[in-house]
Amino acid sequence: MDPAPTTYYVALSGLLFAIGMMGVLTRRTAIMMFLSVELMLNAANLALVAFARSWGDLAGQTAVFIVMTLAAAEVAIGLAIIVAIFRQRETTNVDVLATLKG
Amino acid sequence: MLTPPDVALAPLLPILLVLAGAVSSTVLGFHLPRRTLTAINLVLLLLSAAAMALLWSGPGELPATAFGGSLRADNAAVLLGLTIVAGSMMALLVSLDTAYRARLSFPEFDAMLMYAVTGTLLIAFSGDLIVMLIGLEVMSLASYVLATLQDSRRAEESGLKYFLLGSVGSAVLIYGLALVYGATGSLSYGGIAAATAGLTPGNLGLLVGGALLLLAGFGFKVALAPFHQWTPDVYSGAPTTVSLFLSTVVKVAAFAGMLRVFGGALQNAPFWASALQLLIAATLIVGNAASLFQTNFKRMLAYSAVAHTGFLAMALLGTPGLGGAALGYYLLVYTLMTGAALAIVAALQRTEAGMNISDLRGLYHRHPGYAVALAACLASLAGLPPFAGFFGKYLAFQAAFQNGYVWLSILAVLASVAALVYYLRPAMLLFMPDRTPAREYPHGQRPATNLTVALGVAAITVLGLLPNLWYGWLADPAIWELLAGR
Amino acid sequence: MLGIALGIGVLAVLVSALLGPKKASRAKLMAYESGNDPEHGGVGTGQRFPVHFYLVAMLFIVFDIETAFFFPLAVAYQKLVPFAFWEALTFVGLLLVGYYYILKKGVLEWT
Repeated sequence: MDPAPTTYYVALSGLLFAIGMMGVLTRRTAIMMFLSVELMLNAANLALVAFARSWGDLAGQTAVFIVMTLAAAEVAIGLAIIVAIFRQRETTNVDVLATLKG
Repeated sequence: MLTPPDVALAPLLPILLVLAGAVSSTVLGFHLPRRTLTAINLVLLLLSAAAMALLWSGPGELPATAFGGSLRADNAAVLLGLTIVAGSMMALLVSLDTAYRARLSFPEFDAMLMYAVTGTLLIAFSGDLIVMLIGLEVMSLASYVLATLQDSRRAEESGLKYFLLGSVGSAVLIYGLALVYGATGSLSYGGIAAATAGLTPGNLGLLVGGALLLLAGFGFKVALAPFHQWTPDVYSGAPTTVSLFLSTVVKVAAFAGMLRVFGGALQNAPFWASALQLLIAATLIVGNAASLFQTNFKRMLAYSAVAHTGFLAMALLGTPGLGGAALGYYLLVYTLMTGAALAIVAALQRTEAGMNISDLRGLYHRHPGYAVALAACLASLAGLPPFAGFFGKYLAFQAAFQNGYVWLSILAVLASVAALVYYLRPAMLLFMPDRTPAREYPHGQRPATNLTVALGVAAITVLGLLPNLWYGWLADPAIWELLAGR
Repeated sequence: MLGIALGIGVLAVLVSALLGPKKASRAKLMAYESGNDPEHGGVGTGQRFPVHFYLVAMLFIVFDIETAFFFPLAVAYQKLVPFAFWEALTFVGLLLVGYYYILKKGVLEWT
């Protein structure tokens, strides 16, 4: 059986990216926005791996490694900030965080 | 046995020195007092600048590279790196006077600042998209922490906003990177530039999509409208020392990344320039219009940073030779004048929210030195001769104009005329008769801040009168035409 | 083929969502904790984890991902030059810096 063409993977990753983007735009709690961002990062990873296979080039796969690490570091820092805010205000709804505006 | 990677120490040295500062702050912070640690970091930054100056390659010399071209210490990297170091030193010097008062946690502030500088230098020295991405993320992650460091509701709110929007920007940028890789089969700037010439229509579509996503991602990082919404909240909510760092060094680095990617790797790719000119037009209108209506001085400077993003990005529309030189000059001048103005705010503010513009009335009669320096900074930000801001704006407009962006240049000139209003109103208030009681923070010696302000103002005056002191190094178009390598 | 497969999948979800009876009962709304009755009303309904738990979890994420870098190294180890060993050691050294910072901050002390 032939392996699926690269287009399929790219289409799937585009779909994941779009879902993540929708999530960021519509969700109002920090955690859910943050989860959506992770989805977007994984969409990029899928695209990178698919392209790396179609070009027969390992650079794309190493890039995935780097992006995974970045995502983990982002999780750590993001959760730290969210926990710090939650301790002070008991909410992570971004609409409530509106001291700064104008 | 595989061949060992091509690790050269010389091009890595400036970055390693800054990293050494970051690591030593992390470890030694528990054993040394704050001022000693900051002094060590300042010395390491100076050494890093010296190491960069030694990397300067004269005519005919090939720039030093490491890791098979992934790290390029070419002249562009050196010039941008020196600008970054100048901004970082301003932030550290000001923190000597204000970090304690602002309750910035120690040693995290010093460590995170140095980690962020490491990332910014990696961007300036990058030779492929991966190194650029690592640098960008190291810088961004450290900046999110910096914005949150102060234990106050304002700082936490600004940190969360910065984090959420910044991580969306990163994700968009990474997806763009993946698409560009898919279109060209290469992650190195040189490889991408070489591959853009002969693409199939399908791959061309991928490339255009990738370039636009990269543009949006960088738009988040440099605060181009409509991706600028976080900027005023973060710059005015973060402690002023941190705002100084974010609005100078981080912006310079993000522009360095844009210069590498769009001026180097994607210089022959279609369509991104048209999209960029729309973003710039929006930025110029939004940034300048919003600045007009601010009552808080720190927030006005934040919006002025957005407006300046528009002016700075115009240089990217020029031909690489002219535009790169214009951007290099303008970035240094922008760093110096914004840094000096925010240093004055940091010294005089009573709270980290900055001061109201009306509180500046009669400052000349209370702090003549600061008032004159602030007036000079504002005049330079407005782009009035003889200060260096004028020359920076002129170069950026010229670069865009000569490359055929006539209507955008006209819009930019109109915008900078409108900008005169909001820059000169506080500048005139400074010299009005003193009728209000003083509203500044009354105490304290501020030798380091004074030094920063004096050097910054002296530099923008001298660079305005004798622009070639800095522009002379930048003027060679060959520097900027080889951003992607040979 | 793909269209039929997608169509059946979407249809199954849609139909069951539209036609299925929706009756909430106490047992259904109860948080799932491996069949036991949830303690303290279940997670999210009052009881909270101490913040300390999050700190340790975050540290775990970071250090866990860092180990992922050792897998390629281990796979290719026989073919690598000695230089790779020193590179890996530098990497571990930088991790140790972070570990020292955590220790000094007292994150790992359970009181």
